[in-house]
Amino acid sequence: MLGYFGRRLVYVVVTLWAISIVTFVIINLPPGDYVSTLVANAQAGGEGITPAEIANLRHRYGLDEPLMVQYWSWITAIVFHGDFGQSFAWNQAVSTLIGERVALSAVLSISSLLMVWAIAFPIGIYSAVKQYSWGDYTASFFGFIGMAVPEFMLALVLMYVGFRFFGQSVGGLFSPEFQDAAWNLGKVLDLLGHLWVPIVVIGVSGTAGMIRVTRANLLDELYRPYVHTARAKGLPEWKLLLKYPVRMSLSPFFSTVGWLLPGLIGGETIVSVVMSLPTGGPLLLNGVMNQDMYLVGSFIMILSTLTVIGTVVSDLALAWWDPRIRKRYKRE
Amino acid sequence: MFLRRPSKEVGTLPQWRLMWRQFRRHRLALAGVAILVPVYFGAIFAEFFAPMSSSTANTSMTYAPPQLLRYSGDLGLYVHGYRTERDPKTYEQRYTEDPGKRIDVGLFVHGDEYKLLGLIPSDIHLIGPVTKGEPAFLLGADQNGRDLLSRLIHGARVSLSIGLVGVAASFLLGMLIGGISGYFGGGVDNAVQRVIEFLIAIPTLPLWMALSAALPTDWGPLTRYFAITVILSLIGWTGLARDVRGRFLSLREEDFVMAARLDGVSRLSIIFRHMIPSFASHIIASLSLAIPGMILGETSLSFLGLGLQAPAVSWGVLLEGAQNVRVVANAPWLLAPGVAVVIVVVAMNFFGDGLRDAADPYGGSRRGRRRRAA
Amino acid sequence: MTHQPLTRRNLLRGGGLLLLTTATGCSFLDTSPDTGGAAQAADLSAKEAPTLAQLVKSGKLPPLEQRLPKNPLVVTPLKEAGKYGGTWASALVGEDDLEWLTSTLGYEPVVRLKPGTNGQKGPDDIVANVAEFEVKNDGREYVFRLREGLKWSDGQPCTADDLLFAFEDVATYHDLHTTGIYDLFLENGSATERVKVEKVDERTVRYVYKEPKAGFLFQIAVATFERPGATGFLLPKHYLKQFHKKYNPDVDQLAKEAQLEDWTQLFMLKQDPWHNADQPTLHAWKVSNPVGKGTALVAERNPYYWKVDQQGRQLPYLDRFRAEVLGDVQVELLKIMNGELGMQLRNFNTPENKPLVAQNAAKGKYRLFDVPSRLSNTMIIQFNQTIADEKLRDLFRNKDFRIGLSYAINRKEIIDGVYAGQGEPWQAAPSKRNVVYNEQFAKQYTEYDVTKANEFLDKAGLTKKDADGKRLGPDGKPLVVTVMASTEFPHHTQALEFVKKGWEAVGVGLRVDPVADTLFTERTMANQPQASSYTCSDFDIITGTGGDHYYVPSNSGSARYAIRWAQWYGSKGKSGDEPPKEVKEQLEAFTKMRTEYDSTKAIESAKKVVEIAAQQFYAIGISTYPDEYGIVSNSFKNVPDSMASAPVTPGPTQPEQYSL
Repeated sequence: MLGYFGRRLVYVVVTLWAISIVTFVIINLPPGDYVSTLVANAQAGGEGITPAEIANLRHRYGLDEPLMVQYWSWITAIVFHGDFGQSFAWNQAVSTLIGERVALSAVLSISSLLMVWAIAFPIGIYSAVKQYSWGDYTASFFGFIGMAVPEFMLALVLMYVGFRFFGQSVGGLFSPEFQDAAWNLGKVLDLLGHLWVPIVVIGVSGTAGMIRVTRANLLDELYRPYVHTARAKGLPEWKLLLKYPVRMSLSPFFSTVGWLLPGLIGGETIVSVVMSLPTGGPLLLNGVMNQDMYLVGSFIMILSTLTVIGTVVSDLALAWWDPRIRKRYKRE
Repeated sequence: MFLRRPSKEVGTLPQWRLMWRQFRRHRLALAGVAILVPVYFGAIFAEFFAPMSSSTANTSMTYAPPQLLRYSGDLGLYVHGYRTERDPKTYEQRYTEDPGKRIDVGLFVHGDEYKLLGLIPSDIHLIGPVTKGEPAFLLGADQNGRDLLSRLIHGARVSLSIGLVGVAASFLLGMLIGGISGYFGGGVDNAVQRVIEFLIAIPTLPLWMALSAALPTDWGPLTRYFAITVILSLIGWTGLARDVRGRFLSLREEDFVMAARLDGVSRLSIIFRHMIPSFASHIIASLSLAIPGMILGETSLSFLGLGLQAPAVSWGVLLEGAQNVRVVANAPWLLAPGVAVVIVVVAMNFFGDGLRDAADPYGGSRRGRRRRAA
Repeated sequence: MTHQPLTRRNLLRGGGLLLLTTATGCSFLDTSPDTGGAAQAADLSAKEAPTLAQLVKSGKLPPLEQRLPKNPLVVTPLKEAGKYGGTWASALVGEDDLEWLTSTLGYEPVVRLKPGTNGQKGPDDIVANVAEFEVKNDGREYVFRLREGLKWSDGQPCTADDLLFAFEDVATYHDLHTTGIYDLFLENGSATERVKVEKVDERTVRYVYKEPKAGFLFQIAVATFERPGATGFLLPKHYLKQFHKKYNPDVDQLAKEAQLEDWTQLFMLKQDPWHNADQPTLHAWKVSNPVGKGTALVAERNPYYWKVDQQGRQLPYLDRFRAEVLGDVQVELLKIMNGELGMQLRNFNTPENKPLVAQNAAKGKYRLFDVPSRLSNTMIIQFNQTIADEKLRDLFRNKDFRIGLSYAINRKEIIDGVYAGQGEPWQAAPSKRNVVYNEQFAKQYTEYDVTKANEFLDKAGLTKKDADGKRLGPDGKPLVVTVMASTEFPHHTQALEFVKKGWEAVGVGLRVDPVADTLFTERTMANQPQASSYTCSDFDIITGTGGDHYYVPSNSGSARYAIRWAQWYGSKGKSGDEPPKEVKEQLEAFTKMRTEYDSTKAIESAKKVVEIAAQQFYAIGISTYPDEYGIVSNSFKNVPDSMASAPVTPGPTQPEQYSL
C-alpha cells in the first residue's frame, strides 16, 4: 500500500507540471494582457494612453518577453524559491494576497460545510427510511427549492431584506462602528451578524444537494440482502441502519471529500462577489478579468495542487471507509 | 421478505411498464412532468405563446408594473392602463393605474410577425393586446419597456435546451470511461485516473474566459456559448467517471459479478447487463441533478459576465439584468425569471427523482409491500 | 500504510483540532465598539487637533508653529469653521479603483485648480498650492517656489532637491522609462530633448522650454503626476533615494529580498502612494493602512499639513479617511442607502440608480449634489474608416452612408427607453458648456427621418435590394454591420437594439457584438472591428490628450473611426495610413492648438478642429449625457451643492475643509 501511494506521488508531480503548462497557455489564450486592461480602464475614464506609454508599461511588467521566457521565470521562481510572483493590479506578492484571504475562506467553507452536514445527514436518512411519507415529501420539496434558487439572487435579496427591514449594515464583515474597533464581544457578534447571510446562502444549495445524495445512496443500500440478514438476526433497527447501509451509502461522498480542500481557499466566488466578502474567489475572478497573469497563474497552481492532493486524500478516505477498497490497495 | 418471489403479474410485464407503474406512484414526479411538458411546449412555440417579440419595446413604459388581467362578461378580457409622470429631479417614472383607460386583451390576436419554428410565417399570438402596440404587460415591463412575459417565454428556449446537450455528452463519456476504468482496473484504471486528475485540476473559470475571447467573432453569441458548453462538457465528465469507477470497484467484489464471470459471460456483457443496471439509479440521480445544474450554471455564468450576454435572451441574461438593488427595491417583478428557474429546476428534480425510483421497479414493489406491512 | 492503518479515531482527532480553532479568546465581554477612546473635541478655538496636541504635550511632536511653513496656505471654509475629529467613510469598488483616492486624498499637486473651475480657461483657472508659481516669456519659462519651511509628513523639509529628484531621477530617468519619456517633459516635437530644469535656490526651481508649453500647468493641476507610476513632480527624495540605483548601489539586493525582478519594480512599489504606507507625503491625510492589506484603505491626518483656515487653525478638520474595498457596486449602493458613507461620487451614480438613491435620502440621512458629466454623449457609433477590407472601407468613408444611418435612428425612443428620458439628441460634438460649442455640429442629422435616411443611403450607392427589401452590400450580400460594444456599458447593448430596429427599417442590418473591455481595446488597436460603440468625452483644449480623439484622429489607441490615420499622426508619417487632405489640415490645427500657450489663440485653433470634425462627421452620436450626482451625509459640512466637473473632482472643492 505504501508503494501504491509512492507511485501516486510521482504521478502527482507529473500532473502538476502538465497543469502548469496548460494553465499558462489558458491565461495567455485571450488576446491582450494586463496592460490592455490598464488602457481600457484609462479610456473608460475618458483618458487616452499613448503608444509609447503602452510599450513602457509592457516592458515594466515584463510582458514584452517571449511567452516561453515568461513561463520559465514564473515556474522556476515557484519551484526553487517558493516565489509565486507579483500581482500587477495589487502590486503585492501573490502569496501575501492569498494568505490574507485563506482564513475567511476557510471559516466560510468549514462553517457552511458543518451546517450542511448537521442538517442534511439526518434529514437525508429520514427521507430514505420513510420514503414517500409526508416528511419525505416536505424534505424533498424544500430541498429541491433550496437547490434551485440561484445563489446570487438569494444573496442580493437577503442583503436587501437585511437593509430594508432590519436596517442592518450590509456587505463586508463589520458594521462601520466596529471596523476600526479593537476585538471584543460586540465585534465578534457583529462579525457573526454579517457572516450568517453568506453561510446560509452557501449552505442552502449544499444542504439540499446533500439531502438528495444521502437519500439516493441510502435507498440503494437499504434493501440489500445483508440488511435483511442483519434484521433477521434481530439487530435493533436504528443500529442496523447506522452500522451498515448508512455507512455504505457514504462511499460516494468520501470519494469527493478531498475536493473540499481547494474550496477552502477558492471560496464561494459568487456569494463573495455579491456580498463583498474578502475571500479568495473574487480575487481570482478579478484577476481573470484583468488578465493579472501571475496572480491567476499562481492561484490556479495552488488550487490545482490542492485538488490533486485532495484526490489522494479522497482515495485514502475511501480506503479507510470501505474495507473492500482497502483490500484492493493492499493487494497492489 | 428475505427471498424475493415476484408475483406472476410483475414477472410478465415488460420493464418499461414496470417503470411507468412505479413512476406513476411518485406524486411529486408526476407534478414535475405536469410542469415540464407545458414549459417545454411553450419554449418550442415561444413565438406563438409570447404576446410580443422579445425586442418589442414601448419606451414610455419603462419599469411598468404588471397589469392585472381582468374579465367581465360583456367586455371580455382587459387590463387597466397607466397614468405616468416622470420626476424631473430623480428621473423616477411613476405609474398610477387608470381604471378609466381600458386596454382590451384577446386570445389569438394579431401582433408582431414571426416565423413559427423558423418556417411558417404568422402573426397570431395566443394572448395579447387586441390593438397591436398597446401596453398590456401581464408580468410588467423591463428597463427598456419590453414585455417581461414575452422575454421570459423566449428566453426559456435557450435556457432549457442548451444545457441538455452538455449533460448528455458528459454523461456518455463519464459512464463509458468510468466503467472501463473501474472494471478493468490496473494499468487502464491508473492511466484513466491520471487523466481525470489532470482534467479536474484545470480551472473552468479562466478556461471559459479564455474560450469566450478566443472563439471566432463572426459567430453569434449563441453559437459561441453553445460551443463553449460542449467543450466544457468534454472536460466535465470526470466527476461522474470517478463516481462510476468507485461503484465498479466495490461491485467487482460482489458475488453476482463473480458468478457471472464464472459462468463465462463476456466482460462487456457483465458491465452492461449486470453491473450498470445495479447502480443505474445512482447514475440517474446524479443526472437528474446535473441538468438543472446546467440551467443554474447558465444563470451564474451570465451573472459573472462569462456566459450569454444581451442582446441574446435567456433566463440567465434576464436575471443578470435584474441583479441590482434598483430592481429588488422598485421593480421586483423583474426577478420573475428567477422564479421560473426555481420552478423548472424543482420540477426537473422531481422528475429525476421519480425516474430514479422507477429505474428499480422491483425495489419499489418491495418497498411498497414493506410500507404496507409497517 | 500497512504498518499504521488509518483509523477513524486518528482522523477525528484532526477534526477536533479544526473545531478548536474556531473558538475564540476570552476577556472582552463588552459589546459596544471599542475605539480606543478617541477624544472628540468640540472646541472651536483649538489650533490643532486634540490628538496632535496630546503628542506635542508628551514631546513626541514639535509644536504647531514649527510644523507649519512660514506662509501656510489659508483656506476659507465653504460655510463654517469645523470641529476637529471624525472619519470620512468612503468606499472603493474593486482594489484597482484608485482614481477615487487620487481625487480625494491625493489631490495635492504643486499648483491646483481654483475651486469651481475645471481648467478650461487655461492659466486663469490655476492657483498656487504646494508652491507659488510664475510664468514668464509667454509660457516658455515656469518658476516654482516651494513654501518656506514646508515639511513632509515625517517632519523632513521639502526642498528644491525634491523637485529635481522627481524630474531627473524619476520622471525622466532612463531605466524607469526605457521606451520613452512623457512628452510634457520634452521639447515640442522631440522624443529625447528634455526641458531644461534649474535649481534657483533651496526652494525654487525653474523649467525652461524653447517653445511655449501649453498645458504644462494644467497637467500638474489635474494631478497627472500624483497618480501611481514612475512619474512624479515632487517626491520625497530623502525617503525614496534608498530604493534608487543612483543613490543605493545595493538596491538590486533589496529588490531580490522583496521577491522582485529588479530595482525599478521595487522603486515603483515604494513610490506608489496607495500601496506603501511608509512613504512620506504632503497630503492632508497620510495612508496608514494601504490598499490590499485588510479590507480598507485608511489614512490618518498629516501632522505637518501646511494649510490653515482663516483663524490659523491647522487643517484638515477630519481625523481620518477610510475607504472600504467593496467587491460589487450594489453593496456600495446599499451602504449609501443605509447612510454608511460620508461623501461619495463614484461608481454608484448612474442615472439608472438615481431614483433609488433619491428615495432613500431621508432614511440614510444624506443629500444629493450635482456634478455635470465629463462625457458629452451617451453613445456614439464609429465606423472604421481605415478597415483592411477595401470595399467596406470605401462604404464607411462615404459620408452619405453615415448621414443616412444617422437619420434612421429614433433618438427620442432611445432617450426614453434607455436613458430615463434625460438628455437631448446630440451628435459626437462638444457640450453646450464647452467654449468651442458648435450648435450646427451638435444637431446635424439628428432628426428621425426615414425618407431622408433612404435618400442618403441611395446616394451612397446602396441602391440594390433583395426580395425582403434589405440593401445589398458591396459584396452583393445583404449588408449587416457588426457593431462591437463594451460590456462596460450595458446601456449600449440596449440602445443598439433600438438602433438596429431603425436601421433595419431602411434596409441595413446590425449585429451587436458585446465584448469585455480589455478585448474591446485589443481589437480596436488591432484595427479589426467594422464599427464600435463608446461614450464620448467633451472636447478639451488644454490637455489635448483627454477626449480629443473623438473629434480628431490623434490617438492610435482610441480614435476608433480611423486607427491608422492616428498611427500616421502619432508616428509622424512613419506608419499607418496617410489621411485625406481635410483630415491632415485638422491634425495641423490640432497640433497648433496643443502647443499654443495663449488661450485665445488656442481656442481659435480648437474651433477649427471642431469645425472640420463637424464636416467630417466621424461618428454618429445619440444624446447628451445626464448630469452625474454624488451623495453627502447630512452631518458633513462644507461640501458644495454642485461641483465643476474635472478629472479630479471632488479634489478642487478642498476636502481638507470638510468637517463633521
